[in-house]
This record gives sequence, structure tokens and C-alpha cells, in this order.
Amino acid sequence: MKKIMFYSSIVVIVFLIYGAVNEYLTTDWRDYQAQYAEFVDEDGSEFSVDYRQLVLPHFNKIDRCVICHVGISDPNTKDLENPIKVHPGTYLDSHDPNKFGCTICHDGQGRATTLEGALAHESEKFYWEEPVLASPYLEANCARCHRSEMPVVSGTYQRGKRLFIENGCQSCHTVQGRGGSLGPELTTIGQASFHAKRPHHDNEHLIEEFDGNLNLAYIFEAVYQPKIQPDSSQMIDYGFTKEEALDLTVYIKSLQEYAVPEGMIAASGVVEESGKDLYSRYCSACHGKNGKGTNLTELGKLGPALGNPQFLAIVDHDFLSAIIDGSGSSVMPAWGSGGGLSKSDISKIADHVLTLRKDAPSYKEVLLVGGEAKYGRTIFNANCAGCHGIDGRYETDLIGPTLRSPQLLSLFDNEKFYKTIVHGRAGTAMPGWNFLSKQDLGDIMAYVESWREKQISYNSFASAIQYGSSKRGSSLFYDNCAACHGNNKEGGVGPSLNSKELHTLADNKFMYNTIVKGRRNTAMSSYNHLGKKALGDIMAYLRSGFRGTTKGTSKKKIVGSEFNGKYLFERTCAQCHGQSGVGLNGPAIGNKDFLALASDEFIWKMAAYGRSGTQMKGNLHGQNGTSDLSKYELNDIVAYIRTLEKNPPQLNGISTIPGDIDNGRAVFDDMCSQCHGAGGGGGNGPGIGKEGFLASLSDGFIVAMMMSGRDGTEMKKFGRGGIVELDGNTAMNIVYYLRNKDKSEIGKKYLVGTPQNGKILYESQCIQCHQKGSFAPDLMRSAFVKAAPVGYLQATMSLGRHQTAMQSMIRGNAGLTELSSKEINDIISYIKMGKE
Amino acid sequence: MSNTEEKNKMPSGIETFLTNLKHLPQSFKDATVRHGPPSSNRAASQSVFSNLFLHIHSVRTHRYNFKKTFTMGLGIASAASFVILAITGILLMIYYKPSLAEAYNSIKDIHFAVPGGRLIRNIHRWGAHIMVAGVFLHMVRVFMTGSYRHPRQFNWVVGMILFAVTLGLSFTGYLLPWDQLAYWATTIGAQIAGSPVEITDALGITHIIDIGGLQMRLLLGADIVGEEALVRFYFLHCILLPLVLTTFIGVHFWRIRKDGGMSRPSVITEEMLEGTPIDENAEMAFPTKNKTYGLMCLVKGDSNNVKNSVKNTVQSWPNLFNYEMAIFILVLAILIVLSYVSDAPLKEAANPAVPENPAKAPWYFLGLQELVSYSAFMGGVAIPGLAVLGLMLIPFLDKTRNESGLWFPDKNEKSVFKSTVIFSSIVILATLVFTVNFGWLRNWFPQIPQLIIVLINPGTIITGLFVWWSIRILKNTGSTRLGAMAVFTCFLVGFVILTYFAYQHRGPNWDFYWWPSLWPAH
Amino acid sequence: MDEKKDSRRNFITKFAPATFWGSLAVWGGSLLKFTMPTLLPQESKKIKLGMPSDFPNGTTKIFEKERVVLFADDDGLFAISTTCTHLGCVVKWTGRGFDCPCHGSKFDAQGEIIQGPAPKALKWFKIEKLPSGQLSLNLDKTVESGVKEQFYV
Repeated sequence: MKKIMFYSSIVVIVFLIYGAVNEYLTTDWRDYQAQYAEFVDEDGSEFSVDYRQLVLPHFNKIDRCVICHVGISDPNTKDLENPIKVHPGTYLDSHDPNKFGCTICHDGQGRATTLEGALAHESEKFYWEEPVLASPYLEANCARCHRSEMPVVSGTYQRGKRLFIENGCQSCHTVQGRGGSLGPELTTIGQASFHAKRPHHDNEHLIEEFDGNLNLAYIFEAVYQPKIQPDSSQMIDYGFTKEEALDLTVYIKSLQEYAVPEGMIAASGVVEESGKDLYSRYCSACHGKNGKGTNLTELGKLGPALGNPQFLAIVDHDFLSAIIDGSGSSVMPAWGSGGGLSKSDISKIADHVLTLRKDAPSYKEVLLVGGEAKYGRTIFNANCAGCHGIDGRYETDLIGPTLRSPQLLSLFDNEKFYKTIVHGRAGTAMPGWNFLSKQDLGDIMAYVESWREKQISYNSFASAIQYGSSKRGSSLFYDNCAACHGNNKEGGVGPSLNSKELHTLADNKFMYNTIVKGRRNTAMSSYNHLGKKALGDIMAYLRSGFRGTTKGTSKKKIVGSEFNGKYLFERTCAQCHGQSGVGLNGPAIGNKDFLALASDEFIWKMAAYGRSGTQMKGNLHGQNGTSDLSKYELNDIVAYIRTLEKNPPQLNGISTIPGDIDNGRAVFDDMCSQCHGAGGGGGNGPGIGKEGFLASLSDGFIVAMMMSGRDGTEMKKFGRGGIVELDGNTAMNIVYYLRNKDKSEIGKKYLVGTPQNGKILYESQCIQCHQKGSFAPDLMRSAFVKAAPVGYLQATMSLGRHQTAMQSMIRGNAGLTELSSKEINDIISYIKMGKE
Repeated sequence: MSNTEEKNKMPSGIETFLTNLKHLPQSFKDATVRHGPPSSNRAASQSVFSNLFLHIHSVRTHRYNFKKTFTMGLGIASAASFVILAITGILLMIYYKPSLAEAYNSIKDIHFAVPGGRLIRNIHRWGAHIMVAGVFLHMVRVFMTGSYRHPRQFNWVVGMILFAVTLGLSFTGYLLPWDQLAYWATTIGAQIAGSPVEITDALGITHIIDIGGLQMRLLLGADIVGEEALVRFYFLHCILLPLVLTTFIGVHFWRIRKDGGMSRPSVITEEMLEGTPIDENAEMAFPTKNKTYGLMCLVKGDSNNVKNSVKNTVQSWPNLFNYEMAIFILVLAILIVLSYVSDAPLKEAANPAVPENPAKAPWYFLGLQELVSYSAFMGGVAIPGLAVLGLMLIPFLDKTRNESGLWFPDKNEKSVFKSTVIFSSIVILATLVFTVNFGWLRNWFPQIPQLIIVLINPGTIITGLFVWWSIRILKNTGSTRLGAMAVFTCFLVGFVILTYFAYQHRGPNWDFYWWPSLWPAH
Repeated sequence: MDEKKDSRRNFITKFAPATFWGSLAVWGGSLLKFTMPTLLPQESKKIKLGMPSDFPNGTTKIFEKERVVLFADDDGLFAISTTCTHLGCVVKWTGRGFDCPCHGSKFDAQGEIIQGPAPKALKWFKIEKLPSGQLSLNLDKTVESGVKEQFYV
């Protein structure tokens, strides 16, 4: 027993003394501090060897690194050896170690007092998840405080970030609530515990390469050899070079949610990302960097090519936004709710996708090529006849309207045709054919031109007047003009034609230009198609009662102050004629065609003496008009109006005529909504309430269409002699309603066909490709059905989509099958409604 | 005022004070040491009366107690490790901060920055292992030498309580560093406490009485292991359980004395006593032939040691004292050496999101963890509860008055021990091999009700076979001692094999691996 | 041989208790050392003040948490501790001097004792100029009362 006692006691004493020696004499930090003490001053009174630490309560941290790195903020030590030498660079000037400590940037085990413990390389051995980071991985930690703007240290982080954005990592991975859901979330991947994420055991050498930092090794492996992780079969191998992978590793390592007190986060303005960057970030992994699409065979899924011209031609911003916002597809995440993108982000992405559209050749270029009608016809029949009929002739059962309606041809000049062809009609089946070459377009334009009736010459017009019969003219006037100008020329929407002043001033040339050529951008369309005889009769009727009074006007230029004229115009004339003469209650005297006809004298006299039978009173001093102007002031006004010819007011898409919105709504609901859908959202008739439609047309066009109808289509005449006789004000109210209604009023009326029939057709024609899980998109997804406009569906089915498996379905287009337009509409109504 | 005036005024008081002051060292020594060397019988008995040590132990100790191969000093070693644990534990309390934010950090501080902190913590950790092992082996020794028999039944029960409290202390201490190891072991432990819910769920009465949930809440103070649990475990580990343990250690020691010292065989030969201290004057000591006791003048009777000869006894002071101190310092030396060899584990800070895989309990709970992997309730509550209860009742069910104080005094005991070792090893190994290779009921019938799995699983089958075997031995030999031997041996073998198996052959997801080096990197 | 063995045994028997108590003493010592605090959990005692030009004559800046008041007068900058030298209460700057609320000590504007139980004048701390030109107040270093430093160049 004594022996046990003796030897045990000796062991106790020896080991305790050994321990004390170990702790007080052979500790590394004591040596370093002794060296430093010697350096500071020889007698060592200034510096005592002792435990040292940085207490950082705001991080709940204690960093003892300074126990060895004693000279870290002493610039005198710059020539000494590590660890007692000063911190390199100028970092400490802005990062006071007393405030920030060491591990916030460097990681490592701050509480340790030994080198191995502090470095904690081989995190598994030292049971520490954040081993000291070497350069350049160190840069990742800058992002803990520098949230929005990262300082450029070596550029590694920035390159990694660029790669991260450009390769669309967030298409599948969520970061900070934004991103896709196919891959694992990456918000805190830079802090992931190695219990959860570690490299594959075949990659032990990676762990060594990264000094035992399992998190870094894992991140690197995940981007460099994604295939090696057994469960990450979804991850695409991008084939990064090693340098790129290292750059990405630094950036991904920075994805952390590190608790930093508010005051320490470097100024964190929200960085606005461009639509292009947003697209790269969230979409490019599946849809390709340039919208060319990718073939994600690893996913067994096809990322549709958004850059497809046919697709771009028929989608609009709203539809794209709706699909991005909430596709509800099993593959594509709902980016609004699930992907964390804001409405404005989504809108930016949609805008970016639309920029992938090719710029169509300008109208000028098209004019320059000078097309040939016979080639145009071929092109027309290849591309357009599917909807518009062979040679544009009316047939029943067509999706598009006939283009040979005289009203259309007279209202639509070539430029309007060009615009409609190139930009399409948003919200309808009419896509923008922006991908056609200028030669093709020129040829089509020439072909369209060939449909127009030959314009009656002035001479034959003038001679026709000679033989015109006022009686016949009266009846023709009733049919064609009275809708606007009143049964007895007294005026309505259009001005009174019963005015002495008009007939005095307006010579036959003036009348010829107005009637035969029409007045563009107003409701006055060309009536060339009536033929010279009928026009002669109408002219006779118009002039009846004023025979012989016509004097015409001289071409003499009236000189005045444009500046003063503008002032006077805005004070007096603009009340009726609108700013810059765009027209309000009074006619649009800023109209280019009008000004080309009307001489200065014409305008002066109208302004001075008024136009009987209308609101226009004489404004010359003594005429008791609306204003009391001197001759010179009238001169000034005329001079001003003349300037408008060169700077015509922009009319399209602007409602110029104030009207009664409630009356407009009531009449529209009653008369128009059956075909055009509630609020003009579209139905059998085009979606005339849609922004895209309204933006491209003037009020005058719409009123004229209403009043005269469109022969060869379902659009009937609603003016005098039509199925319903709308008066001009009501027509204006309808236009006003369409332009000023609330967006929510646009109804979802999709009664385009019979769903029952559509179902049968769908199951026989479409389901082979479109069934769930097949390569083609699932058309029955509620989000898709909700977002896809009827026009989009009609266009896709009629035209097919080049470079994809979707081919034309419509009759006569040599596609997959030969459906009639009615059948297509049936299918659409099934898709839209069948899935209740 | 001058001194003379003062003296004249109160001469006696000042004088007395000065005299007392002069004698201060001597009187302090007298009060502390109280008596000189035992030069007379009176002085000798005086020194006994005023000595705490000799009130814990009897004045004379039988030489058989010193026989190294008999007790192996296991009880004293356990007590010594408890003393060391108490001292180091109290010291650790100076630096340890029981809060989620600081617990882990304060352990790191103790490890890195507190002078000797690493050593103290290592000693505390190793001490816990040594104490659990010591208590367990002590129990084995007591059973195998039949020392639980009359009149020591009660002390056996107290010993079982001490065993349970020791495990409790170890378990509660496990959480305090708040690292991954601690967090997940405790989570599992708490879930075991909540496992009666399996039964109540199967019976559909959980909404009426949720015993498991109640136990778990009581333990954790919440539904998950968090700050409340940490504070509760801190309280249990530092206050309640040490208090209970100290109290029962007192009772345990006191009972040894009241039960007439340690058990020893009826016939003791000189060879048996070789190597033990000898008191040449033992025969000269007074035999306590007629010793009686009188309690509060109410009752009187013979004391326990009446008729016990003083032959072969030695003075407890200093023989027993030296013996105990030697064991104490031996334990301390072992702990210090171990502490230099190996650091107490401190893994990564607790991360409730990422479990350790495998999350293994401390070694002494690994056997249970293996059983728990079949059924949490059976393996974690029912079987161990039954085992502890059965062990406690052994002295009341086996009342044979055979020899005690000898290892396997009876030939039959040894043969039963051997055959039971063979039988139980085969049963356990066969069950484990079967389960590892073929899985269990759930693998074959995924829809099987939980209640059936709770009732029929490898754990219950092993237990059932053990019970069957013991009853068979009991029936065949007609000896309750041999029946008890069979039960106890089964328990022992089960504990050892299951512990080894879980320690060595269980890897991530509790799958079977031959060696830890074959574990897949997850 | 036997004798040697015996003598060794005797030696052991004789010294075992001594080594036992000795080892306990050594262990006790190491336990005592364990209780000595080595690292005080306090934040850095260096306060960054800013450029010298931030402190024109007549400046009085009170650092409540750090318990120091910084003054600037014609002679330069100086910093006086607001920890009472009596029993560590925080003295209050009255505009003319410092008053201690606990036991009635009073100090003048330079921290010298005017009345009360305080045994010493208030401490003055060292103001240092960093290489960057910024001023820093070092609460670890004291200077003698009356040492004011001029930092304007």
C-alpha cells in the first residue's frame, strides 16, 4: 500500500510540475511576447508578457490572436518576423482591431492561444467549423460587412460574382429568398457545417488542398466536379476551369448570414440590377445566355428558347410577366411568390426578353427597296394566308380579318400596314413579323398597294362634278357621310358641310383632296372607292345651295409673329381645337393633311369670320366671336398654325376628345362587348380595349371603323344606315371609355368556341405532345392557362414555332394537321375553360 | 492616559487578557488536536471518540478487508473519484457560464486561457468515466462474492441508488459544454425519457395522460433542448444529484459499519490473509464479547460485533486510512496521467440544425442505445428499468445463507457463470447477427402497428430468453443463488457485448460497419 | 540484494506519507492557481477620439461608459478620470469641478481634492497621437496631474 501511495504521489508531483513548466516556460506566445518586449525597450518596463485578448461583445467574440500577434498595430514592427510584425497593408486604418477583432475577417478560432488551435486547419481534428482562411478565400469574409459594394482586393470575388450571375446559378438556387428551387438553397452555404456538407471521400486530396477547410473544399468540388456528389445529380457540370472554380468558390463562400451589428455594416444601398443581369441570374441556366435555350438533358427537361422569333413575335410584356410571376409549372418555379422576385424585377426581365426581338427594318428602308407585288403575293400567301385568306380575300372560318375591306384600305395607309405587320397587334393573334427581311416587307407592301383602287384623278373628279346629280348625291351622302356630317350636312362628329364660308373658301381641289385622299389621323377616311361618278353626285349635293359662291383662296403667305400667335392660340383657339390643334370639340386643325390643303388665307378667314352652322364664330374685331382679335393678331395665329405643319402633334394613343365615360361604358357593354369582350379584352373580335391596340391607333380611326364598319368582316356598320345608328357623340364616348377605363374592367371573356368540340380535338391532336411530363409544355397548368392570351394561343397554333416541335395546325399551312379556325378556337376555349 | 493609571484601574482584566494572549498558540492547538499521543487507555479511547475517520470506520478493521484480490479497492476508488470530481467540478463552476451564448465559449476559455484549466477539465471528464466504471465493477464484485446477503440487503439497495445517481450525474454533465456531442446525446436521452409515448400512443391515451411528454418536459423545461434544459441540467448536475449522492454515500458507508464491516468467509486461513497488514498485538486487544448497546435508555441488546473475535484485526488508524489514501492518490495519479495523454472531447458548438452522425451516447449508455435502436420505450425505459429493479430485488429473492466474501465459493456457481456467459453471448450475438443481416419486422411488414414492434423486438427477445434461461437454472438447480447468478451474468454479458457492439460496429445512420475506418464520408 | 530491497522498502514506507501530503499540496496549489483570473473580459481601453482639430479650446467631452472627461484649454488636451479615488463611485462634472455622490468628496477642475475622504487627486489619462494623426485616449496609461498635451502643429 505504501508503495502505491509513494509512487502515485511521485507521479502526481512530477506530472503537475511538468504541466506548470509546460504552461509557463515553453508556451510559444510567451516567447513571442518576450521578443516583442525586447524590441519595444530593453528594460522591458513598457511591455509585460501576459495574456492578451480583444473583447468584442457586439460579436459575442473574444479574439486572442493578439496574444502572439502583439505588434499587429505597431508600425515600428514592420521589419520583424511574423507573428509579431505589423499587419500588412492599410487595412487596420479603417478596421480598428479593437472594434472588429481578427476572426471577423480571417475566421479561425479566436479564443485559442496556440497556433494550431487558432488556425484550426483540419476543422475535423480541431472541431472548429471556421478555420483560418488564406488569401484569396479571405475576401469572401469582406461581404459580412460590405454587403452591397464589395471592395476590390484581388478581383477574385468580383470575378466569382460575375460567373455566378452569368451562369444563372440562381435559376436553380435560392439566395436570400430569391432564386429557383431546383437546387439546394445557398443563402448560408458559406457557413454550412461539415456535418451536413463535405466533399466526397474520393476527394480527400481536395480537403488537403484547402488546408482541411471542409466548407471550402465542398464548395469547390460542387462547382468544379459537381458529378461526384452522389445525390446532386441535378447539378449541371458547367465545365469551369480551375481558376473559374476558385473564383466562384470565393464568391459562394461569401454567402453567409453573419450576425453583424447594424452600425458595422458598410453603407448598404440597394443595388438596382438591370433586366439583363436579372435575366442572367435567374433565367439563363435554363433558357440560355442569349435566350437560345439549353438542353438540360441532365434534368430531362428542355429549357424553351425565349429568343425564338416566332415566340417573341406573339408574346407581350404582360404575358411574359405573368408566366415569370407564377408559372406553376413543375419545372419552372413561380418567381413571384416562390422565387422572391419583385414585380419590378419581373417586369425588367420581361423587358429584357423582349429586347431579344430583332429590330425590324425601318419604314424608310422598306420604302427604299421598292418591292414587287408578285413576289409580295407569294410571301403573303406563305405567311399570312393562314389567317387572312389566300390573297387576303375574305373566307369564312378565318382567324384574321380580311384585308381587302375598302374601309380598311382607305383608312390604312401603307405606313400603318407596315406598322401592323412589323409590330403586330398586341393581344390578338396578329404577331409582329419583325423578323421578315426588308425585301420581304417591301414586296408585301407592294402587294398590299396593288389591292387599292386606282386613285381618281382631280380632272376626272372635277368633270364628274359637272355631271353630278344632287338628288343621287343626297342619297349617297346619307349612306356614306351622314354618320358624321349629319343627315342634312348640318354636322355631327364631323363638321357641318352646310356652311357658306366653307363653300366660299374651299375650292374643288380642297374637296378633292379631302374626299379622295382622306384626312389621315382623323375620322375622315378616303372615299376613293366610291368611284368618280358617286363622288361627283355627292359633290353636287354638297355644293347645292352654294353654287357659284366658291372663290377659293390665294396662296399668299401671311406673315406674323409665331411666338405671339402661339400665345393667342393657346388662350383662345385651344379651348376647342386642343393644344397644338390636336382637336377636341373642334376639328384637328393641326392635322398635317389639312394644313397641306388649307392656305393661309383659308385659315385666316375661317378664324376671322367663323363658319356658320358650327360653334366656330368669327374672331375678328367686331364679329362678336369668342374673342375680339385684331387683324394682326389673326396674322400671328395663322403664322403659328402654319408651324404645326412641320411639328405635327402626336396623336396616336392620346385621347383628345373628352367624353362621357359612363355613357361610353353602357353603350359598349350593350353593343360591342359581345364580340370584343368585356372592356374590349377580346373575344371573337379583336381586343380593342387592350393597351397595345389603343396605343397604335388614333381616335379618328376607331370612330371611323365604328361608323363605317369593315366590309368582309363581322364588324358591321354602326353609323347611319348601319344595324344600329350611333350618333357621333356616343361614338366619341365609346372611344373615351376605351381609353380611360380601369384595367380591371378588361374582362376575361373567352367564348371563342365550343369547349366540348375542343376537348375532342385536343385529345386527338394535342395530347400526344402536351401531356404532363412530356417534352412539350403542360398546357393545362392553371397559371399558364390564366396568363396566355387567346391571341397568343391562336398565333402559336396557326403559325407553329420554328425550331421547335410545334408546327402549324391550321388548314392550308402544310403543318401537322389541317384545322379550321373554328376548330382552333374550339381547342382554345377548351384549354381556357375546359379545365374548371 | 498613562499605563500605570490603566493598570491601577483594572489590573486583573488586563492581566488575564495578556496571559490568554500569551497562551493563544497552545490553547488553539489543544482545541484542535484535543489530546496527545494515546499513551494511556483513556487517551487512546479519547482519541477514538474525537476522530471523525474512526466514526466512519470502526476502530479495528479485519485483515481480510485489505486483501487486494477481494475488494480490489473498487468502492474506495469510486468514492475517491467522486471526491476528485467534486473538487474539480466546484472549480469549473468558477468559469463555466450556463447560458446558450456563453456555455461553449466558457469551456473554450477554460481549455485555452485559464491556468491549468485544461488539466482540471480533463481530470473531471476522466474522473466521470473512472467513477462510472468503478461503481459498476464494485457492484459486480459485491454480487459475485455474494456480499449482498443478510444483513447487507439494504446497503445493496443503497448501492443501486448510488449507481443510478452516478449515471444521472454523468448524463447531466454531458450537456453542459453545449457542443455537438453534448447536444445530440442529450436530445436522444431526452427522447428516451419521452418514449413512454409509444405505449400511450399505441393505446390511444396520450391525450389523457402523456407520461413520456411529462417526463421530457420535466427534464428539458421545454419541448426541445435549449436554454431551459441547460439550466435544468446545470442545477441537476451541480446541486441536486451531488446532494443526493453525498447523502447516500454517507448512508452507504455508515451501513458498512452497522452491518459489521465487510463480508468475509466464515473460515479464514492464514494463506488468505497474505499480504495484508498485521497487528502483532491484536490478541492483546479487548475482545468485544460482551459489548451491548443502550439506546436513549430505552432498549438494550447485543451489538453486531458481539462474539466477533478481534483476532486478525488491525488498527484502522493508520492502516485503513493509509489504504484509502493510497487508493485516492492512485486514482488521482491515473487521472492526471490520462489527462495529459488525452483531452476531454469538445466538438463543434451545438448546431440544432445538423445532427452528429452517428450521434453516440457516452460509452456506458451505448448498450442502451443499441436497444433503443429497436424500440425507444423498451430499450430506453422498460428493459433498463426492469434490470435495475431486478438487481435491486436480488437480495430479497435470494435468501440463501451461503458463504459470502469469496469469489465463487461454490463450484456450481462457477459452472453456472460459465454456462450463462456462453448462453447469453450466443443469444446476443445471434440476435445481432440476425438483425444486421435481415432487419426486423418493419423491414418485412412496413404497415405493422408500432405496438407489435414495441413488444416484439430484439431487445425484448433477448430479455425474454435471459429470463427463460434463469428460470431454467433456478428450476434445475433448485438454488435461488444460482438463479440470481444466471440473471446477473446475463445482465453483465448483455451490457458488455451491447456496449462493445454499439461502440465499435455502429456507424452513420446506426448502420453496421466492421470498423470505424469503413464509415462512409457523408 | 535483500538488504537493498529492504532498505528501499523502508525508504518508501517512511516517505510515503510525506510524498502523499506533498502531492496533495502541489495539486492544491495548481487548483488555487486555477482560480486566479488571467484575462479580464473588458473591451479595449483605447478610445479613438478623432483629429486634434475636433477639439478646439473650451471643449468638454464626457465619456460616460469609459468614465473619463476630456478637456481642451490653452495648454492643450487632457483627460481626467471620473472614478473617485475613495471607493470607486462615479464623480459628476459640475462645470467647475467634480462631486462624488457617495461620500461627499469634492475635486476641483484639475481633479485635485478640495474636501471629503478621497485620499488622492483624480487620475489623468494619457492622450496619444496615432501614426494616422488621429488622437487616442489610453485608459491603461496615466500621466501626472497637470500634464496637458498640445497636438496642434
